[in-house]
Amino acid sequence: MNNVVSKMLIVLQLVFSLLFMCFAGAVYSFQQSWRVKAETTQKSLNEKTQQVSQITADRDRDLGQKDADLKVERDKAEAAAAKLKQQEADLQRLQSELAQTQQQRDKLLADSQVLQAETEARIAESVDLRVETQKLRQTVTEELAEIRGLEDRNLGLSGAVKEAKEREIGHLDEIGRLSNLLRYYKIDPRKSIAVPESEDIAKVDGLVVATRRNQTRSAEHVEITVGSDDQVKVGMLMDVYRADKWLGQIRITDVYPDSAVGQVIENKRNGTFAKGDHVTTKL
Amino acid sequence: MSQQNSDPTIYDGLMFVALGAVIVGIVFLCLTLDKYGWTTAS
Repeated sequence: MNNVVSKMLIVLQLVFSLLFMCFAGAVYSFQQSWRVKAETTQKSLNEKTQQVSQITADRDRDLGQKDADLKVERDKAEAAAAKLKQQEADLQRLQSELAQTQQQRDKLLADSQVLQAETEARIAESVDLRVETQKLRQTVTEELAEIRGLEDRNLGLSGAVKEAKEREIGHLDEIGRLSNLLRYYKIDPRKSIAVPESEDIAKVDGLVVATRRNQTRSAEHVEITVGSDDQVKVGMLMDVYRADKWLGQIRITDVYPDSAVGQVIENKRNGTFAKGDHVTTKL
Repeated sequence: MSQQNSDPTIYDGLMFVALGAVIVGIVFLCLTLDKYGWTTAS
């Protein structure tokens, strides 16, 4: 142990032993535990793997749900497509109906225009008819007034007829008495006696009251305002005139005290007789 | 060879110190291995 080499080896042994201790202590103190890290990493890996599995399951479940939803949506889309097709068919049908309706509308419009024109014409016609009706009402009123006048006149004439019948009865009695008287003097009352007709016929002027044709319209009678009180007799001829125009001649057929009726002599007619015309025995 | 029972020198003490350092180092290495469960890479 006295030699230098041994001492040096001892010192080197000491140095290396100390170095070994220091490195071993450093390794123990400062080295990282790879096992713990590996276990931690493995644990984390397991957790991640579990999460991945969970996510995959969730994804699969979502995919299944999505597939189901997709199928449902596809069915809905098919149903909607069928409905759309049906609606397109309905639309075409409605368009055709619309076209027909428009044609009918145009036709109805044309008809309504025609009817409107016809209505306007009817309105104008009704206005004319209303005016005509008013005229007819006025005419009816006038005719009624005339009828009332004629009725009054008829009443007067009825009284005159009654009076004439009484006079006729008196005349018949007188004729009977005169016939008896003629028979008493042996004179045939049926034989006509020629009596000189009086040539001095008084001038009698009157007016035409009314003119009327008989039922067969074969003859026209004229009523005048002069009668037996004015020396008018049956069979007398009288002239009818209006202003300066001579209208014709009548023959007296019926005579009343203040009126007479004459028949128009057709072959001596020169116009139409009317109410207000003048009648006279001498022109 | 006559000096067989000589007194220990400083170098003897240094050798024991070196021995103790080796033992401490071995203990550190054993503790380190204990962290890995005394298993080796296979």
